[in-house]
Formats: sequence, C-alpha cells, structure tokens
Amino acid sequence: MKESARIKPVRSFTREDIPQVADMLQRLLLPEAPSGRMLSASELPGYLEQTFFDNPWYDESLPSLVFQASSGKLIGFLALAPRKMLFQNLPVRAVISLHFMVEPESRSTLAGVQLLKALFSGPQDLVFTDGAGLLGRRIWEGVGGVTSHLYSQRWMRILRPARQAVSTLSKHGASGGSKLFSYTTQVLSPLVSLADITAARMLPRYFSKVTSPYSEEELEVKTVLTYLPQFSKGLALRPVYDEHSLQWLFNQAAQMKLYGVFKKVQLRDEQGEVAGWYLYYLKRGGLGSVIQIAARKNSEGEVIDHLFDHARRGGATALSGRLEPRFMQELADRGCFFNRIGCLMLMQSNNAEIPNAIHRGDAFLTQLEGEWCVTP
Amino acid sequence: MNRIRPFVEDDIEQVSDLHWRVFDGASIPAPQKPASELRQSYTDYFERVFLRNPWRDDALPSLVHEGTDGRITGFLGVLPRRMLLDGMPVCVALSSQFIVDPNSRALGAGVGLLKAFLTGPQDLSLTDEANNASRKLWEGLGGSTALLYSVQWTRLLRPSRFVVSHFEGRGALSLLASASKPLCNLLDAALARKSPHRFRQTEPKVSGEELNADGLLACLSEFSGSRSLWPEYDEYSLKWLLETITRQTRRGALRKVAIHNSRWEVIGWYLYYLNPRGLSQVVQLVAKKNSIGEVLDHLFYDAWLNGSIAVSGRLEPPFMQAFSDRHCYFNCGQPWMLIHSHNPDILRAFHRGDALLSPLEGEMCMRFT
Repeated sequence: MKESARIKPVRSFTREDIPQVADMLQRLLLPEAPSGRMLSASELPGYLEQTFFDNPWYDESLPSLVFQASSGKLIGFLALAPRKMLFQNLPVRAVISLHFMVEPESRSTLAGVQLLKALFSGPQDLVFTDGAGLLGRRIWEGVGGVTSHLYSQRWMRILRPARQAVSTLSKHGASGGSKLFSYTTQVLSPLVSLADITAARMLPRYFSKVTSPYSEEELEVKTVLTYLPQFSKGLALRPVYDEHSLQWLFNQAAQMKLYGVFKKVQLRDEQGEVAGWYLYYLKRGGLGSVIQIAARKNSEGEVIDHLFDHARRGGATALSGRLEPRFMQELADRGCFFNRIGCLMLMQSNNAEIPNAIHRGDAFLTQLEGEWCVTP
Repeated sequence: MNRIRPFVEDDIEQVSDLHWRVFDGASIPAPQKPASELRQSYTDYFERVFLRNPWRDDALPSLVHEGTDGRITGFLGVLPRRMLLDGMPVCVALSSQFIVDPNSRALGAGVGLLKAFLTGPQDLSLTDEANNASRKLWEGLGGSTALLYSVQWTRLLRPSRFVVSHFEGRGALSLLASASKPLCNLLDAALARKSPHRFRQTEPKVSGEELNADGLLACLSEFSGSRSLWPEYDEYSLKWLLETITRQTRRGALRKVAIHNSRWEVIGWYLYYLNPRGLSQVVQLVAKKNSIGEVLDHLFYDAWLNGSIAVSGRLEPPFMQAFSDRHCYFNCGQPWMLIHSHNPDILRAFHRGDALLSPLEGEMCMRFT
C-alpha cells in the first residue's frame, strides 16, 4: 500500500500544529486592519493553545480538525469548542465550530467538505456555528447542515437617534475620505445633542429615561448558576455551566475590549429577588453589542427596559444583539427593528429533534453560548 | 345556558352589531346600531366570506357563542382552505374576526370559541393577523407561534418622505409634514445620488407581464415543489380570492406581475397593493431560488416608478438573505401567525420556513373593509 493512501488527510489538531494554524489564521481569516481584531500575530499561538486545549470543556473525543496534504503541509482547519447542554432535560454534547478555513490554492481539493464531513460524523449531539458567512452556509448545507433563519437575525435599538445618524454617516464619510463631513459633524455636535434632547421630549416612549422597579448590581457567577435553570426552564435546549467554565467565559469576554467595556448587570426587585441580568459591551458614542439577556417570567420587558436605559446613561447611541426568539415580542414592542446583517447560525445534528427545537426558537442560545467569546 | 354552535345566515344581524360595537363603535352604547348602508355592507361581507366562499365545508363552520339569553356574545370566523404537504392534501381552517363581547370575556366566551375551533377536524388551524392577547390564548390551548412568518420586511424607496409620513394625521405635525414634502423630495434625490445602490432604482434586466388568475394558477402549479407546504387552488377559488382582495381598494390598486427571464421563462411573480405616495404592501412574492434578487429588484423598481415611498411584506424565510442584501429591514411582533396541528411535519414546515404562506393564503381576504 502506498504511504499516501494510508494517511488520512483529516486528523485531530495537536499542539504541534499550532504554529502552522496560527499562520493560516493570520493570513486567511483575520482582518488586516489592526483595529478589526484583538490579538496581534504573535499572540495567536497562545490564543489557540488556551482556547482549544486549555478550555474548561476540553474533550479529547471532540478535537478540532486539520486537513493535511500529502506533502505534510496543513491546508485546512476547523476549530471546535465543546459545550455542555441539556436537551429536554437530558445532557447533550454540543460543539461550536469556528475558524473554518482552507488555503485558497487548495479549495478545489474539497478539503473543506472533507473537514465538515469528518466533523458531522463525530460523537457530538449537536454542532453549530453562529459566525458563518454565505460561502460557509453553502458548504454546510451541501454536507447536511441547515440554517436557522430565526437565530440568524439581529435586532437593533436606537437610543440617541441624531447621534446615531451622525455616527453612521461619519463612517460613510470616513470611508469616502470626506474630511469636510467629519469637520462639519464636530462643529454641529451641540446641535446633535439638542436634537436628541428634543427627540426624548417628543417621543418619550422611545428615547427617555425609564424609571425601573429594579436595582442594579454587578452580575456574579453564582447568580447565573443559581437562576439560569429557572430562567431557561421550559426551553428544550439550554446550556449548563459550572463556576469554572462560566468564570472562564466572563474572563474571555472581558478581554474583548474592541467592542467596548464589558458590562455584567444583575437586577433585583424590591424584595431582593433576582429578576434578570444582561451582558453587553458598552461603547460610548457608538453601537453597543448585547451578548445575553435573561429574565424571569413576566419580567422580560422591565429587564430589557433597564438594559436600554443603562446603555443610554452610559453614552451609547444604539444597541444591537442577536435575536433571542423568546424576547421577540418585548423587543418589537420597545421599538427595535431587525435585520439579517452579519453572521449566520448553521447547525447539524443526527437527532432531528434538536435542530427542530432551534428552528422553532425553543432554545436558550445566546451569543455567550456561541463563538463570540472564543474568537481572537 | 351558554353554547357554541355553527354560524348561520340568521346570525348575520347580531354578529354585525357585535362586530360594529367591538371594532367600530366601542364608545357607543350597546343598543345603538350601525347605519343602514353599513349594515348592508356587513350583510354582504358575512354572507360572501363566511357563507358563500369557494371552500365552504359544513364540517368547518364559523362559530358563534350564545349567552344564556340566546344573544350572540362571540364570533369566530372560519374559512376552510386547502394545502399540500409534500404532495399530500392538508385541510386547513383559517380563523379570523375573533370577536367577543367585552362583557362576556370574563365568562370564557373567547376560550370556549377557540377551544371548539381548535378541536375541529382540520389538519391545520391557522391565523395570521393575531394580537398579543390572541397569541397568549392560542399558546395556552396548545398552539404555537410561527415566529419566522411573523416577520415583516420593509424597503425604503424615498426615505425622507417615509420618515415624514409618520407625522401625517398628527395635528400640527401634519402641517409640518405637508410643508416639508418639497424639501423631502430634494433630500431623497440627493440620497439617490449619494447612495445609488441603496436608494436609486434602476430599470430591471428582467421583464414583467400582467398576471391574471389563470396565469397565477399555472405559476403556482409550476413552482409547487419548491416548499414542503404549498397552497392548493383551482380556477374558481383563485378567481374568487383575487376578486375579493381586488375589492379592498383602500390599500391601493392590486398589481399582479409575472417576471420572465431572457428565455421568457417565469422566474417568479409578485402581487401587491400599489400605494402611490405611500407604503405599498406585498400580497404574495414567489421566485426561483436563484432569481429572487431579480424579482425583488423588479418589484422595487415598479413601486418606485409609480410613486411609492416604501414597500413592505411578510418575510419569505428562504429569501431572508436576499431581502437583507437589498437593504430591507425587518419588523417582528404582532400581527402574529399562530398555528395548531397534531401533525409534527406540518409544524416543522412552518418552524424551518418551508411553507408558502403569504397574505394571499391568510386573513387578508377576510378583512371587513
């Protein structure tokens, strides 16, 4: 038998592969502009080691995958981050798939397809990605994955309309090199603030301060561990954390300063009971990103109101997050609009009931459970 | 004793009064009656839609709730429809005009009506213009919300005119809105120049042709394999449906356009209420998988050319990306589409977005206008 015929091109990712994969990651996936990423090229090997070998859910039977050409060179990579979840109250093994890449000159070899096929035949109960693009979608769907249209939507809530409009136009101006526009917006800044004050007076329902019945404090890991089972009760698919894994995630999230300051807020009612919490990145003068909202039954609206008010007080012009279907009504009632811009959620499972649950929005699947907190 | 029974012709007068009191004359004391002209409209409407529709089936009647004194205190309109699930017939009961006398709500008239409706012999119970209260009721009785089909998309064609249109009919702001129209026109022209890909509509490369009922029937038949759950029409039912929705002139003139490619093959079609100077609403939009962009471009151009300031419609889930790529934004929330079925395959088709369930298949034709 020939040597090349005995070597399987798709194999487990090992620590020895880190330098090659870090190089691929640097060249193929990460934006070139330094402002578009958190880690420098020299930090990528450490990131790969920490995220894919030293994470709290590391499982030898669910390794990340590489595609090795007969020359020995790695030409494809598919990272996997295992997670623990419950499906209909029974434990299931989920894996997040990310960093799906193949060297451009090798794409005709179907290395990507083989990597995905190897992944789909793994021992996990569910594999999903919430950071996919259109090309990834085509490949996933071709190999048996499906798109969750519901979890591929995002919501957006404008908090300071005039400032947000200027911020959006500034981005266009900046990309078009319009210094005049940038100068004009600076000069007109007091007028923009005045316009936002007027908007708050004319449309108090949308832009004014909300008097919340809840008091806020820094969210503690033990609060999530205690209340997550209660707040996600009734949902078919939900995550399971322990102190170590949740703290690890919070630490990861806090490092991602590119998106703003990571805020973890828990809310208590007058009796001191926890009514809910939210995690988001606050960006003063810009768009904040919401990672997770959790609320007890019948407190969803007040928790979301508090989040909007918190971000407004912190100087954000708008907030955006992935649609969590259980809050669809509350978000819609509060003047959010929705879009399908950005990443897609794709999934695959040999248990058809799991994707069905996700399709109908019957899952506690926020960005904290996704690839957000494990990207460089 | 309270009872629920099928709606019959003799109930029209009482149901009309109930409808009028609940929807149009809420502030008017109960003994008052609608004017004679309006009464005739009600009679025509209840007769035509609920008693003389093409799908009339004695096993799926509209329902009334009768109080102990024999007075009708609740009504639930039912329109049977037909669909195909992977080629197999599905009996659908579409509910609309769910009306309960406010004084009888505490007595469970609404719950009783809905329970009776949901336990009917149909394979699928459906409503697509439900409010939050109805949603709670349906879900409490085992129904579910088709979230993907409760999403509306909107494409702005003349953005500043669209913004200002929200102030129309609001006292002093309305005057301001009227006065600012010339300025808005200038601003919209400037935006079209600055962002042509977003706000300037260019003549589409594909051609459109007026679609009649026969043509639409042929199109629906040709495209029927593209989703698991698909509506089934015959010549009579489709003509009745088109005639009914064409009468709803308050929304605008109904335009029906088939889109052809260069080989003169139909690649899709759209039906919409054209509202010049306002928001145009799509009734049905269907396209081949790889042609949705061209069909959307044609629709937007047609609406823009005829003066619309925006177009909106119900999301077709398989085309979510195409809507997004063409700068549509989405609204979620009420009106909700609510479904109830004991067949998991039917529910799955909705939840994964694999059903053609446009407003043409929904309550639109059951509106009282």
